[in-house]
Amino acid sequence: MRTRGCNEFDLVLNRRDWLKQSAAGFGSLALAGLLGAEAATGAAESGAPNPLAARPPHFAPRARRVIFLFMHGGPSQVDTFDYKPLLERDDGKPLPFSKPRVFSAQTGNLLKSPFKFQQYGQSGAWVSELFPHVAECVDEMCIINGMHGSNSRHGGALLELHTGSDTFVRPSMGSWITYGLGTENQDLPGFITVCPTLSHGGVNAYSSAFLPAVYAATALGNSGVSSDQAKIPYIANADETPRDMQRLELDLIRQINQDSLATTGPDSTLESRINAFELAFRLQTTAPALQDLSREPESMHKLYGLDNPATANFGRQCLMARRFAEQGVRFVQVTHSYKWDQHENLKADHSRNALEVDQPIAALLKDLQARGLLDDTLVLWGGEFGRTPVAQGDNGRDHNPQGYTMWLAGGGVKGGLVYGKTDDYGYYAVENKVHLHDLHATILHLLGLDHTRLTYRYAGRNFRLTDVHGEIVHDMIAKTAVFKA
Amino acid sequence: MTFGWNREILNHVHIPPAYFTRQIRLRLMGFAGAAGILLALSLTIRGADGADGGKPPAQTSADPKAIEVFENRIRPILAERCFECHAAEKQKGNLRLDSREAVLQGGDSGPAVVSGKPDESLLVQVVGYAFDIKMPPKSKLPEREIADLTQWVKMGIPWPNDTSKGESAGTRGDKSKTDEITPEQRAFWAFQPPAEPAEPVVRQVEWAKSPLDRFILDRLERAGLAPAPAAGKRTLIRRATFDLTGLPPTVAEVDAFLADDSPDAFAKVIDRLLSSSRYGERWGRHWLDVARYADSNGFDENLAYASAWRYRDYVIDAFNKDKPFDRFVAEQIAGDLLPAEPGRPFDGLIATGFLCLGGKMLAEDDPVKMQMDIVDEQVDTIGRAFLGLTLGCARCHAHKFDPISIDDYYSLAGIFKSTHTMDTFTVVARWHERPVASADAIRSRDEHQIKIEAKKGELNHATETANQRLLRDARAHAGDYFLAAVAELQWTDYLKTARPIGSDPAAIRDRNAIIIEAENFARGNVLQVTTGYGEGIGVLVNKGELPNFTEYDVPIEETGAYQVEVRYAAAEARPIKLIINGDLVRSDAAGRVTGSWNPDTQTWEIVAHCLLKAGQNLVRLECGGPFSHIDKLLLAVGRNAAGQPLTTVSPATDGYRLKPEFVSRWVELLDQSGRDAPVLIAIWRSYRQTGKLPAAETFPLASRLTGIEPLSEQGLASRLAGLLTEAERTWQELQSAPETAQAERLADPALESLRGLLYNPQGPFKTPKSADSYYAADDLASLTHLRGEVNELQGSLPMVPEAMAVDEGKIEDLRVHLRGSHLTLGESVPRRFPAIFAGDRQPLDAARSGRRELAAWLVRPDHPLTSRVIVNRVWLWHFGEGLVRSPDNFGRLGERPTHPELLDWLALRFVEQGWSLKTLHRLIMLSATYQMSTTSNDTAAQTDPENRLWWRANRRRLEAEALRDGILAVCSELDPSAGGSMLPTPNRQYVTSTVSKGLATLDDSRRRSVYLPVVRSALYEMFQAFDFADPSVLNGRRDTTTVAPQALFMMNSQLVAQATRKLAQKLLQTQAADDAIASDMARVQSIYECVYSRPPTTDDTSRALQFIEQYGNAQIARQTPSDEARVRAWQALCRAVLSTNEFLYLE
Repeated sequence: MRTRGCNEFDLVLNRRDWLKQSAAGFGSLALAGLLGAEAATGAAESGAPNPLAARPPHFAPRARRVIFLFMHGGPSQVDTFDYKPLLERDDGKPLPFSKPRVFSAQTGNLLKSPFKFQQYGQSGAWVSELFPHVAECVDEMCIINGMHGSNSRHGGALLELHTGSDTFVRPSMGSWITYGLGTENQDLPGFITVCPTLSHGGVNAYSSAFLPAVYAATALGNSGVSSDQAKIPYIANADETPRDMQRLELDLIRQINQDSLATTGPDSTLESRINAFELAFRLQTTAPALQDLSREPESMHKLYGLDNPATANFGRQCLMARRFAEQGVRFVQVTHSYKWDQHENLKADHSRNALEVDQPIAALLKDLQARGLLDDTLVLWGGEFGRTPVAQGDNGRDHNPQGYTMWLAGGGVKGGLVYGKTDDYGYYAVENKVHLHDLHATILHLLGLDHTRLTYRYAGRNFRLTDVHGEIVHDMIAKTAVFKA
Repeated sequence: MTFGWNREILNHVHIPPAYFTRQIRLRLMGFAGAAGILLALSLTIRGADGADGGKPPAQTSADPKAIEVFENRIRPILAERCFECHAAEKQKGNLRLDSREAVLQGGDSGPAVVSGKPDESLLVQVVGYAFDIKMPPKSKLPEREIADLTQWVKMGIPWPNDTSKGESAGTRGDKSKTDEITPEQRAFWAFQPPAEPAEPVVRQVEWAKSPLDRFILDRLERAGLAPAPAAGKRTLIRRATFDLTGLPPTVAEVDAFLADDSPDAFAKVIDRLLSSSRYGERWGRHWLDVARYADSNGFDENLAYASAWRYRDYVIDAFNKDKPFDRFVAEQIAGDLLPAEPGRPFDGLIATGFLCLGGKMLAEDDPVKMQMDIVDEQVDTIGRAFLGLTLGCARCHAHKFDPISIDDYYSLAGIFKSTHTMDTFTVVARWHERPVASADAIRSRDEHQIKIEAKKGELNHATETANQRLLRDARAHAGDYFLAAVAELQWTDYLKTARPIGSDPAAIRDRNAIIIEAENFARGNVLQVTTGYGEGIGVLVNKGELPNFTEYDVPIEETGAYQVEVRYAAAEARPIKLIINGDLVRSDAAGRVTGSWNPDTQTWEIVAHCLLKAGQNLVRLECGGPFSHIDKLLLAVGRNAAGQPLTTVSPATDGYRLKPEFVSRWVELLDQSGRDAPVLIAIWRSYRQTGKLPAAETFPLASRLTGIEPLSEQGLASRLAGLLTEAERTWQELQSAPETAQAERLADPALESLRGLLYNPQGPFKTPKSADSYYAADDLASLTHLRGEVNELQGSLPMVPEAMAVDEGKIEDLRVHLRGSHLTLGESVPRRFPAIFAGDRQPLDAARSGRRELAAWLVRPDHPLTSRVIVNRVWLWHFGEGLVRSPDNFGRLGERPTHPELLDWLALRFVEQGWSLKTLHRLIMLSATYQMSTTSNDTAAQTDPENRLWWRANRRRLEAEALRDGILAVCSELDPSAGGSMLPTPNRQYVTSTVSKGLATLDDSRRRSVYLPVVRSALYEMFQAFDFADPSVLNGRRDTTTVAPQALFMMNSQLVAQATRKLAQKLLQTQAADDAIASDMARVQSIYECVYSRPPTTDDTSRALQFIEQYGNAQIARQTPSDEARVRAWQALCRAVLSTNEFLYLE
């Protein structure tokens, strides 16, 4: 990890300057419409930009959008993608090296994985029996076995994974990316999170913090809500007023607003608000339609496991993610709620969790590929940390940010690659280590954004997703450009 | 390396804001040109560093480029990788790497570096891992760092003269640290005390109502601009009312103002608004943005801050009372240490909630890091809230732009390290709270607590006595227990091969078994179902009363051991209790799943083996939930595999009943294997396994077993039982004789081994966890009574309210944390205030944290920042922008004041007038500047599009709270009650999981928004949409975005729907005129006056009426009854009017 000064600047105009340059200062961000295509039209005369308008990246991108499959709780690397024969051999023996200085609970001796591993694909990557469907896609995936983070608790680690800081409230990576690139569909939010968790910091994982609020995620439901009930707030009328009735009301609002514009004179803020009503009116139809999975053919329902109670909930989330991605939403996160925290019952609970997500995830990858979307859609899978190879109790594992697995697929990453290594037992990342900051830098790079240039001035200094850290892991990136920007 | 050194340097030099805003020009000048300017600038700053004459130059070149490289690339490597072993703390190999001299001098292996020659430098070799010595020993440095070090050596190891950054502990000279601040830094405007400015001379004298206006007008005139015309009275009262109270004016208030022609009519309005308690609710909320107020922790563990509301109410009250701002500041930092104001004993304590309210990582595994993070949050918040300085930047290194050193940071941090904010730092950590009640109340609570403890003591004593009695009685029957356990084990053995006989008519006859139909119970609370389950099958079905029970009176001819069977069907496990003659025989009988509730799975099961006496026996079945489908019971004399009757234990002759828990413990004991088994058990097992007794030499006890003839299991059991009873009896005799009462053991080793078993606290007579059902009746009665008393006392414990507040902690200075890490500590720094303000000779009392002194220092009348920062905030909250447009940052990277003289003038007046905010409001609001209209003009809009010169009033969007409260107010739905908590969650309980339950929803509540609970990470959606301040961080200025969810809220929310419906109904209740049309016109007028504070124009009215007709007809066309259609039409009109810009924006 390279360390750089935390005050660094760019002489090249950064995103914020781009916004600033074309309008009257910070306040003009107010001109923004969350769904601002028409806001921009209305504001065109005064030159106010739409903060969500699609913007060119710093350089040719490999990916245009991101789907983040978040496994809240911390899946175990040594039971999923990081095969450790020595752990099996030395089951029950003490760990032959020291445990980290800071840990969350007392742990005992080495605990072998209760799951069988096998090699898959041309690449021969090892995957455990937990992920038979995902395993079929290993040749599209870059499995990062040398991940490491800085915090051993859910709250801190979850924040670090999403924002780069394990201590402070900072913009989420989805917010940074939307801030950097805008969005491609002005009728939809640029950053959507489906059923996000409310615990361990909750909204801090998808808030825009000090970035303008237009870059915060639009949350559909939360982890306590079944994914078929996940909706945009206030999307449905409380009194079920029919659409044509509402149209009458909106016409009246527009007339009164036009009248006052005549009094006040041109004011782009007022104009963009008039448009916001029109957008909201349309959104009432488009968003529920986009979320209406009954429009998908039976084969899709089967593919994503919607016909199976075990996979239906996460399957719907994955299918929604594909539909949003297809419609140009920049960053979609789907959360498999706080289930992966196996301090005990490792075998039973990891089996259940994997069962719920395995088929839907594989379906998403295959579906994206079949539609040609995988080329420019970056899929990220992982939890806030991994788990210890040593036992907590007799059938559990504790938190482990020292070394764990995440994987990337599509969006310009090298498929069939297993990158980085943990030690013989899977405790510490030891080779080709990838810190969360490095992962962030790499994700931004794939999107055509220079992580050192994507900055925002707040509280007296320029902030960025990677703070003063971050090394792009070029080895994970495919050599040939998949598409030209 | 992907970045060249030059580029790296450019990234670290400061670009003054003036340059920043002129970036386009910079770009025109070209990259090189800009870089030149910047480089020159950095040379100036560094040049000043070099002016320090305390030491000889350590190297020939003080090249700022090189120094930057060192600071940004090399020093971090040294600090993180090397200093642990090679600095002030430790000098492994006699090597230090914390100064240039030390590096050149080297250690045991010679010089660490040969300047300019990486190949000959030991340092480069060891980090390359190409040598015997490999450093750092644990893992090789990343290639980049090795490359950097190599490059650095090649450059001649540039090292700044200034060695006092904290890292080079021990090498610091005695030069005063204040010398490190450059003259330029010292001269920065924000560090000068406000100076009385000359009032400008202006041309348009008549426009200016006060000196304030002259400062504004002067700049406008010099820019060739004219102020906008004055706002009309309707606009003015609307603006002022929303400004000061966050609510729209009522129609009556507007009318009264319009009717008042006196010159001080507006002043009267301002006074009225300032004296309304709505003022504190509005301005208190502004301050709560700064105080990052929330009712929950947010962050990782989202626990309820259930006492936080006291701070919120304190803030509201402070504004309403116009508490002098200096006092307000001091109380929030050190209120617990200040003398209380008369009649307000707890204000100060509650005010320190300011320090506690921040979001915390309560589950940080590293307690030291957790504490430092909390201290950091406090220092950072205080810096930005009161000083407008980003002190937090200096946590890791000297502030890059402001003269705040890392020493300054840790000297301030020491004050808060010495403050008790947290009770614990273990996961999940506990924040501190302090009682807010009179000494009497606390004393009375404490006394009551003592009473509770005393009563609990009494109860414990009584329980202990009862337990002793229980155990004594049990030991007296040790032999019986032993036999019971033996019988139980035999029964278990029997069960391994036994089959139920219920389905074997021959066995039933042979054994003379008694069969009972389950539904023929004598007493019970279940339904008897005899149809639908097959012929002869009647089952027990839940009637709704739990637990289910049935009782059977069973006459028995002959006393003996019986086996009990039950026939039942169950699709899920529903174990029953079997109670015979009052003794619990089994607690999990018939608990299997047979497969279904249907008769086809009806199954017989042996459920118990027990003693039944001749005559009537009471058999009782009981189940906590509903019964299985029980069909029949069977009782038959027990037989073993050989057809012999099973033995069972006769009840104790003295009427003592064996306690099942002790029986089970004896069973466990008898079943126990291994070498650690007690002697008694070893003998027993030996016999069971070999048929012989062990040799007497092995066990003294064995010698007591001779003479049992013939040796049989039953005989041996009886003999052992007898010995157990004898051991206890002998012991009791010994204890009761005065001369032997002190004896600690029995003389007979055989008996003593048994006594040891009986008295082993973990042995068979271990005190049961819950022994209520075992106590003698009188013991139980007295225990029940005492428990009642304890409960009663606990129930009547007077509650003493608590507030989140701090206390003085362990007073200590902090050591500088290199790179912000508590793992790399530098030198200790004394607690003090930043040197730029106060120099470095500021001894703080060694016995106190220094909070009180910090508070006093902050509110000094000549403090350059405190008054300016708050005056600027007030200006911003009135005008939408501050005179300094970065309200939380007055440092070099912040904005410069647009009107520095005005800022100073206001700050000076503010302090002069006793730090009174209400006086400041009057001063501002009575100015012509405040009273301008929003009218635009093309020239000004071209010259000054951001309105930095205040040529007109800014059009402002209502904040989330003002919008919600305003909607409720115009619809007469606002609940005006003030204060208190609306958070239903108990203190320190998790709130995230109950977001959708329990918490008042924004749509349901009619209270003012300031009183709705602020749950971090679960803000109300409407608040989020309308840019409510993120409660995780300090917010001096809210964004005002325009987003579609805002429109969705107006169009679709329940709140707006309900409020507007109420308004429509209210309008329709009043018949203003006989004429229907005239009535409707009056209604439209009423809506406009309520919502916009103005009457409708003719066009407005006709459009509204047309809408009512069209909407109403459309409703009727949809089969809506006409009355309802009318209500809906008026509701739609109200909602539309409320949704317009005219309501949402203040002119």
